Amino acid sequence: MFNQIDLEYNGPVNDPKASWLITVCSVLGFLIVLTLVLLNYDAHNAGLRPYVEGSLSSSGVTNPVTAVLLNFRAYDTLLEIAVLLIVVIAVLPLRNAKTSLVRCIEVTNHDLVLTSLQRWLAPAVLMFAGYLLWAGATQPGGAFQAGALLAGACVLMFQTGVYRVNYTSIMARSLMTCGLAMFIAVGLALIWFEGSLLKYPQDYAGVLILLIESGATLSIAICLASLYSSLIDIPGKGHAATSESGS
Amino acid sequence: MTSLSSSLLLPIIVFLPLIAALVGFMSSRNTFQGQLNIGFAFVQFLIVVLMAILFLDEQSYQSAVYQIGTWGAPLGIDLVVDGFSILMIGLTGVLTLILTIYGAAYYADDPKSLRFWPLWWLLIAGLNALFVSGDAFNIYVCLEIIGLSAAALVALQSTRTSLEAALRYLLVGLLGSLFYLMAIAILYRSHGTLDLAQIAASSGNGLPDQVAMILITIGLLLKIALFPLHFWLPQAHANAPTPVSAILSALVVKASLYVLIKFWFEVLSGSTTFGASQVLGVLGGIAIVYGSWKAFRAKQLKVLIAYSTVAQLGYIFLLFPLSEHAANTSSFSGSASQAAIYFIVAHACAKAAMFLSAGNLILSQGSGDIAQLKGIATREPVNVLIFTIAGVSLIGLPPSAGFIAKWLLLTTSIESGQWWWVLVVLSGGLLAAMYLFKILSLAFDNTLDDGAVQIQPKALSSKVLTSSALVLALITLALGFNAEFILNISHPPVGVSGI
Amino acid sequence: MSSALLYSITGLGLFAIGLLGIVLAGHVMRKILALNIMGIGIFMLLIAIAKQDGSFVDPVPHAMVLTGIVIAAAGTALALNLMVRLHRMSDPKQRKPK
Repeated sequence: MFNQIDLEYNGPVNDPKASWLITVCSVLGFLIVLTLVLLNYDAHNAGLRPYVEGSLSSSGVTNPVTAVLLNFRAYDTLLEIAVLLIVVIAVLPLRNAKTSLVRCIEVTNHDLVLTSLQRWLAPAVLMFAGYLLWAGATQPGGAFQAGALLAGACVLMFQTGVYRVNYTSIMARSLMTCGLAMFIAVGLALIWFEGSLLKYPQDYAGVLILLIESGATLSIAICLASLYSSLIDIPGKGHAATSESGS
Repeated sequence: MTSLSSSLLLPIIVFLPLIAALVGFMSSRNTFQGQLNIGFAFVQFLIVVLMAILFLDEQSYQSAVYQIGTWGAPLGIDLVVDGFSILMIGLTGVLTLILTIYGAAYYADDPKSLRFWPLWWLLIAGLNALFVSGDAFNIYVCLEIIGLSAAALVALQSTRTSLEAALRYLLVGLLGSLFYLMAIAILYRSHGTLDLAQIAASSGNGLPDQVAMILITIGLLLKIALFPLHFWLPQAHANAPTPVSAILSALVVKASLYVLIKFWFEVLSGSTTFGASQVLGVLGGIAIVYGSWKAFRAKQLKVLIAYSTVAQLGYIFLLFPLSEHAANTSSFSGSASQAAIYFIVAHACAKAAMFLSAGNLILSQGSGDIAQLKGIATREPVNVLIFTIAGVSLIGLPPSAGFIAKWLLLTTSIESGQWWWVLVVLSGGLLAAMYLFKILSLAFDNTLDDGAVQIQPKALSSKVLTSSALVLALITLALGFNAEFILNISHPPVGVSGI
Repeated sequence: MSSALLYSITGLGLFAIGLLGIVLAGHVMRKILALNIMGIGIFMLLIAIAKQDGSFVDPVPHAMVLTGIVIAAAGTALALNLMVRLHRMSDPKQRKPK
């Protein structure tokens, strides 16, 4: 099934070695069994909602999803930021810490539509991302949404090739790690102050969550932007990294 | 800090490698890089020893629970440690120390070390977090950490074969995790909680639990590389850098095995059937024979060792049919589980030692082909000795850890009346001897071929590379002399049968 | 049929389509897309589980989905990066990336 890694643009649509009959039959069998499970067995009606509702007032935020993500199950969120960092480390080009974070290269042909779009949209997206981060405490929003929006703004800005970001500079690496580092620092510090990992004190829970979320937003934004850049940049064509690029 | 639950050792064992990864990522290449990382590994080893001492001190051998944020399950996430997980954490601690020392010497002058160290520590963090986790969704996140960092480490060499192997490994790993996630979704639907202990308390024999068990089994079998889902393993383990191959074969596949055992015996034990365990046992038996045969036919040294991993993992799957006949079928105790635990530890140490020594031989010889290894015993005697010791453990000859593991398996099979597994175990030993003696006879063969050019001896491997592999081989031998040590950690002192 | 049940079955259908895709597809890109579809199917199932009775919403599956989306994006990014590196390695002159 996976023995051939096929990269041909005009290659066969379907894997010639995979057996159609067995696969379709087994997948259909799966589907039928799972549907039977859904139809015949009722869900556990309450779920975890009563527990969340009971503790929501002491969590520091009023949005239940943010409370679950950043307070009750904050450990999962910490590990998930680590997952993003793993992929970023794997795709970054080889180290070139000399050049600064962002370099502006003037290009001669300006595409009117694109530059207008950038000029009007990017600041608005930036502001909206900040709002999403702030509003995550009371409404759907929070670090991930804001970070993804910021990354979208970065992708917009990268379309013209004016900006060259060096993701391996010190500044970039600090931004990438500040989310995870802040999370770990707050978590461990709370062991000292409150006795248990990631146990926020009642009065400061909202502030601490906002602090962690801000760090996470910056990290997620630059990590996602670096993932995008690693796929479009061509090594040896004026990229800030060395030409013997690993990406 | 008198008890394990109230101390902060459990969070620290997860956060220390994360901090090491961050430090590795932020720092640039300097002369202290190797020593810094060895320092982190040593601190982790000390913490692991402390954890083991605290765990054994609590005379009750119950599991220690650490509630993160004191919310407690099911609202929060619990970190749970029992005998099996303490053993796996201990194994991770020891292997991390030795492999970090090896890696520091291996990557001493290589610019790739900047990418290696953060990924290495994130892999260790994922392993530690998996072994202490008590929450089903947390296990999913940890499995993804392990899978992604392992695939990134395999791709470190950036050669064509390693990139292909890494891509295949990644796709298979993601597929397995998605099966697991689907099973978690179904379990949450029917039980309303994500905590393992609570799911265990409310699980029964219903269809949702059985379907979830099947999905978890298939997903984790993809990650453990049991026959016939093993197709990704040989290329991935063979084309990775040497310390990465060692930890992949020794710990990463065992991590998924740990999750499978936990679900099979503790969480969803009501939904496992006798037929299913026999199927797993049969697949394990086929894996032993098939893996040994392909190892015999391999042309490259690391591919041979990787196929040997496929074969050795088959032995551990004999645990499933054998434990159905033990006294308590619903808990992970009894002689079959003792055999499996001992096998996991023995194989981890032996396979890591074998990979390290093979890596040294390849470095000294310059190529990984088996045919090139002719007569290498005169140039690299210590490394060939390490390879031999590891091979002795894999075949199951005394006095090695592998012998004790096989002995436990044999006595358990005879006791439970399923004598056909005895044939499988014995023939597996013979097959392992086949491919290992092939290597050793070639290594000691000093005759010159007609017209063959005398191979110029390359520079011998550095002392650190050889001595760290030697330490692992000696540990394998030492475990062969003192079986009680491991078994007492993982199980309450019931009489060890057969010794 | 309640809407939660409809969404659940749709999620299962997406899971099945993704599973078929990853086994049967030829090109690696299709396999990666199939993995994404499988993941989205599971997320849809989780969201449907969160809203069983229609009157209240269970926030924990929502948090699981948010975490799952980030992990799926990260996995897809790594797979795409490996694929692009392999692609460039095979024929860098003829195929112009992007």
